[in-house]
Amino acid sequence: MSYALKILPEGRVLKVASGKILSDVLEDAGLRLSLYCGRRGLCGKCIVEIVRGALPSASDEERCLLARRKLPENYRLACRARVEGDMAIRIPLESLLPHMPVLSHGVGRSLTLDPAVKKISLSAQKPDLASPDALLDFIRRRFPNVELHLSLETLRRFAQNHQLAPAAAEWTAVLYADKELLAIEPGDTTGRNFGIAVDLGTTTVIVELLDLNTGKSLDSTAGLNAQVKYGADVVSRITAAYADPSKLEDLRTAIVGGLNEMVGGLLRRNQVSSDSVYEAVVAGNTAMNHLLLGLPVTTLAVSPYQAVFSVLPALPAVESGLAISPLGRVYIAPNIKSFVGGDISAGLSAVDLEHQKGNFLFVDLGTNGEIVLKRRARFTATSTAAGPAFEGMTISCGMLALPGAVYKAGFKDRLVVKTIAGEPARGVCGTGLIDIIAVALEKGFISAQGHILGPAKKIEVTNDLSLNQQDIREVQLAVAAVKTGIRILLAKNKMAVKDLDGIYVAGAFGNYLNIPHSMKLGLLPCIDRKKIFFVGNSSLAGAKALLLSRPERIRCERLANRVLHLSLAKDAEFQTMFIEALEFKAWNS
Amino acid sequence: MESKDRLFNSMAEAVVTGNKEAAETLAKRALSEKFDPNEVIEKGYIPGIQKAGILWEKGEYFLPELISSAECMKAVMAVLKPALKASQAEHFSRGKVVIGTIQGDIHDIGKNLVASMLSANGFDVVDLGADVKLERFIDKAREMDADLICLSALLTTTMLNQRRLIEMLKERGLRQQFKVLVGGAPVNKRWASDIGADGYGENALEAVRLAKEIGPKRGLA
Repeated sequence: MSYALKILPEGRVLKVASGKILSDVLEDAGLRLSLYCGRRGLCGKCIVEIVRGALPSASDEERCLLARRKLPENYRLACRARVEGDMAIRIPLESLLPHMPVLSHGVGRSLTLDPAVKKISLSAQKPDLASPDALLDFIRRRFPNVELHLSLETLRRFAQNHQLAPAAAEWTAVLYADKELLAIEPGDTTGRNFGIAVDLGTTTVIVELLDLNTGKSLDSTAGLNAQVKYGADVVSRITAAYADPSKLEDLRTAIVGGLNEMVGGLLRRNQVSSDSVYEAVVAGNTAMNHLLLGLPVTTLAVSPYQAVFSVLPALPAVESGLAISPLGRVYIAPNIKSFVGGDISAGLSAVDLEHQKGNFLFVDLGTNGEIVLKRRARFTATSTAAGPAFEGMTISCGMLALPGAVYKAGFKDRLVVKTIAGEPARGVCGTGLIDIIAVALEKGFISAQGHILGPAKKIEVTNDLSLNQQDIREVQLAVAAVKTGIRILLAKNKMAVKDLDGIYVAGAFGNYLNIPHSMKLGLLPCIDRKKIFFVGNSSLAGAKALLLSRPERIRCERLANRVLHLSLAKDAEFQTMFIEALEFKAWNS
Repeated sequence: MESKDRLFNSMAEAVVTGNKEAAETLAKRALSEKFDPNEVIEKGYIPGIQKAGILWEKGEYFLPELISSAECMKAVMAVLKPALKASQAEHFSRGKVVIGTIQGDIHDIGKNLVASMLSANGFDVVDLGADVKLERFIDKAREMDADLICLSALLTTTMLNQRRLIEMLKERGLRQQFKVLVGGAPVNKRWASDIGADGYGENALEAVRLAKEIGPKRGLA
């Protein structure tokens, strides 16, 4: 039994087997649906309108969602709804990728394409009957000056392929870093060489598919980190693995499974076989990359917070469990020190910080605020516990930057707010918080000490949302942590704000961070606005750079090795400066 | 009498507003006018730090304000303590406290605040700092015959060491000698009772309240 499914507005009609899940049908049809929570019916991002025909019965999740978002009765979640009759559906724009709140783009720097994986086509010669060469020899002859490395599995597959097509004249050698023979494929496959770049965030994971022949990005997908069920933040994940070592494998399985589902979807959608993907590059914070590899986090859990590794050679994909070619490699962007991880080293590559002339700050604002200061050729990094306030945790009406989050605010007779995707306000995300507090300060609703003045003891955001005193305190702590980190880094390098040639702001805030407002609160020092550069998701951009250029990878590793690390907690001045920084105050010294 | 009351009021005011200079000057003046230092502390300064605490609990004060009030108390005590008679000093101390951030953890702002509030409220406090070995807590507590051991942990990983310390005390038959208070962001009442601690303070003021309640083996309560 099959039904006709009409997709509006494009008008295409699909023939669908009865009982199929709508999201599977749409994905197979090449539509880039937003399936952030991994088809768990949690995020409500894959909403579709059933315009005509058989309205699928609503699940509990769907009923809740419709009520909460005040949506009409004929809306359904594509990941929940089954096709049980002919129907016409309309897919709202915001249910398709790329989805605004997830920053999949970052700075794109121009790089010379020089990936680690290279494909070279070879012609086999007819064997000489009198003195038959071994099958592999024509390949060895092709690279006379290289001491080739290869795995037994590579050799076996080659021999098996050869059995199937003994007369094949065309072969393709897949070389890694110009010396390692990953595979010998039958035929000329040089046109199909793909790679995967991963931004492995604690909350959100972004996977991008790239063509290694052109350097072009083909497609990307974003999803929730499948480890969130073990805790929302890095420390709770570390704790889960630390307190119960058996959980380590659960965490690893969760993230590998989640990644594989995303990679699988991407490859299917773009008709790329996993056998044509010989490399994945992963940029993630120290805890995330340890957990992906199933490495114990015991040393990372307690002082002095040591990582197991910083720079690693590319690892066999098959050992990592990632579903690319089993003969492929997984490269982890190098960790700098302690909690300053691969997401930061990748970010530094993304903006090519090393080659910028002058003095720069690189600030990645998340639960852990990571800050890198470049003073001419000298790099110092630190991480500061900003806490999850900017991600909306610990704030009474806080939320992640998802549809319905207040992300901008200004003042026109009263507080005026904007929400993501224009949905009814459901909460406030980090950039919204900063705007609201800056406006409240300006209008005298709160004091510079953060005390809410006036009898109401709260700041009304909308009719249903307000910030209370504790919320303001949480933001003060977060701002002070970042400000103190920057000040101490500057002081240790004998620098003042005026010596800075620019500040790169990376992380979830993206372009939505209001610069004057963030300066008013003291989050960023006061410098010329033209010197502030939003670089968006620099971790993903860096992962791509490291995938597309092996020389860049080597530069990144060298840089990661020479960045000095500063432990704020060990700094004698930290506490005094931190307490001082709790006051909302613009600063430039 | 009225002028004495006015003086006490100014002392309290100086502490509430965190005016260290004024607080010190007033303390010196009280000594030169031969006031009883014990009374000056009890009626002049303590009400000040208590008022600051109330403002903090009401959300009007935040860490900087509370810390400057505590700093005032510290400065004042440095002026007045030498003038207390030995018997008075002993009588005045609310108890002896060993405090520190537990092994494996280097976060110590919260712990520092608890330490200064305890000392502002009349406890003798020895602060061992951060990442303090469990052994060292016990050695120091025994050496100074402490009433209280206060353990801070800011990570869910390091809070496990709070349990270990209590177990170590039990193993050595020392558990009854000291009261153990725990605190820190991931810690709660439930955890405190699970690991057999004597109490948990949600914040610095609760820690002081709790310490007063269960703390001293001697002296005034």
